[in-house]
Amino acid sequence: MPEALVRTKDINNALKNYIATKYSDPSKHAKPPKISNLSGQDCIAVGISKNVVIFIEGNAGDYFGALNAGASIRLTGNAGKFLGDTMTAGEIIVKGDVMHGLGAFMSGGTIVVKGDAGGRVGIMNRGGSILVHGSVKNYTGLYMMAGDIIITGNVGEHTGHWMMRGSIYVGGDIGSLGTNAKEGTMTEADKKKLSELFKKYGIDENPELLSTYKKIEPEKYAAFPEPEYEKVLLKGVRA
Amino acid sequence: MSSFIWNEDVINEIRARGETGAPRVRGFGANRILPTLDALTILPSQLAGKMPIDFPRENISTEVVIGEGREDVSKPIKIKTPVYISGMSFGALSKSAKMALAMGAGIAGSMTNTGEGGTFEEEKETADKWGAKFVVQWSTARFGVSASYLNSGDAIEIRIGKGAAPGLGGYAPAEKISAEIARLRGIPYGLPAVSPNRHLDIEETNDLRRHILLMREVVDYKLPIFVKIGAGRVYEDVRAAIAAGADAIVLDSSQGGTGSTVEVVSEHAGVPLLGMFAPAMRAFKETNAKENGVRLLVSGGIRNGADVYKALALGADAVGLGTAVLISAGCYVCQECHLGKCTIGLATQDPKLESKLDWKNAGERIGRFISSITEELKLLCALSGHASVRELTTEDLRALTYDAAAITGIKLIGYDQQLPMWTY
Repeated sequence: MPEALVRTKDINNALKNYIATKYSDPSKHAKPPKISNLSGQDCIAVGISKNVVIFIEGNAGDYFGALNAGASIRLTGNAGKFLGDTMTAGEIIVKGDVMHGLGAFMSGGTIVVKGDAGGRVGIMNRGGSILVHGSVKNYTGLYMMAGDIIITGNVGEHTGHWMMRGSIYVGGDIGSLGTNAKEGTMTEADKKKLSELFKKYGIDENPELLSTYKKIEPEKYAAFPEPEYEKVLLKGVRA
Repeated sequence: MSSFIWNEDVINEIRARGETGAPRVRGFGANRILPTLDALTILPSQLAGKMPIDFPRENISTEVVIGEGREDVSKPIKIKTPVYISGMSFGALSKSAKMALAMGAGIAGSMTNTGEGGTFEEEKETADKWGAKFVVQWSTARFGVSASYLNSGDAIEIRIGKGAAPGLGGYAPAEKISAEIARLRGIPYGLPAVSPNRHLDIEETNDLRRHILLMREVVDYKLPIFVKIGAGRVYEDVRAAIAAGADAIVLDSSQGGTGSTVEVVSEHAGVPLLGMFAPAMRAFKETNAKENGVRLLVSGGIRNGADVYKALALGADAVGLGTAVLISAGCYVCQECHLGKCTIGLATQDPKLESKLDWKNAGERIGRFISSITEELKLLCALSGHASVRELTTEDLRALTYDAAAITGIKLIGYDQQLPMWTY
């Protein structure tokens, strides 16, 4: 990475300039900046709405690729907390490990991590797809409302805690299920979906193993936390 | 013989609890008697000090700029009046109500705020048409939030909490979430809208700092970033928000309103308006925040030009109104916003009820109301000898009660000094 590209602002400016040139003057055939040796800077490659491919090497800090709205961002290296936070479209592919909060609040797009992730993967997911080719810690899919979370390895405790909709697929062991989460049945459609995703992102998973995957889904659809709220709060609603 | 303590309201409430087994939920904010700005008075200029301004023949400046002098803000937000409209969501309010707020803010030369839940095309269009500044809110559930949403604003408000329900999340049952609201909020239709009580991705002050960096990167260092806090540990929270790099801190008092909250919280949690200023200003002074361009915005219980004047003199740079502007649009304070059956068409998603609101008429009323408050503010500035709202200080006020003097540090009438506890 050039000497000047040390601060978050400078790195992102290099990306913004590339995207601006690419879209304002295609004849210039703008080349993406080479960003390597990233050393923990926060908020890199955030809020990009254009359909561009960006390659980054090194270890990213927190909120990498947050608010991504269309770019394909490839990181070779580890990343900090809340990668892909509030992402709405596009994809982020990581060859490395990431910390907790992966894909928090995402509502669209795909995140693929070829490595392990911390806890709270896909919290409040509202429609994105998260694939971790590795193991994750506790509270995967906390409060999720839609979308898919696929973990090829093990998941920790309280998986699917208070999930409302969406699906969590686990290839390894489940520490425990959270409230309103239950183990469902893997359908052929589920297997096909996972198989296609694995193929698309080059995940080398034995197709026969898909039969051993566990699917976690909400105990009661559209449930959380209505019954609890009804009990605690809605009864208190009166004119 | 009736009892002061066991009055009719208390008795009815206890009996209702016996039926429901649940705490009461309702709209609006605190109803009980809390210290207010009425405990302060404004000092007119006579012989001593500045001569009064001959308003309206002599001008009073009311313009406020937020983000000016901030290194990371290239487009500060300018409003013609220090009175703005606080965040109220489409969902809690009808679409027509939100458009009326945008229009009214524009008429008054002020700003409106999406509240939680994103925005819709017509709201932004109305704001643009009438020249209202548009604040987009980033709240705990990220409903309707995207990079383009953040870039559609003139400022971004990170809402940590609100005065009427600090530390509580939000909940709207599925039947109140129309297909359109579900689409705008980015949630599957048929589900309730549940907002976490805190930002699940802000675990410490440094995360707030990173959040602000995230916003700045996404909007390319153009817009000011506000951080909204429900008033509690005011000094510590303001210090934390300043340290995180906020361009403006929005302090929402416990007298603020909301569409639906648990009564015991709005009545008994948080700090009322009068008590916010001293700790907030202590935090500002210790960090030279004002000198560094950070602005203090306050809301929660502001009703008229006198309240605005007093808030500015106590240290605020601008003042947010929610309940008062809804009243100006026709709300009659039934406090049943939570039921979604607002007969005025303000706090409802029922098309029939919403059709009762002539939003353009309501927008005009809101605009006139804010303009009238601004005129009151100018009058009070004039009589106290100030040609600009930015000149107001605590020396323009006196406390009418010992309590108010103790809470605010303002000199007590008669005694004409600060109470000894403030002079150590």
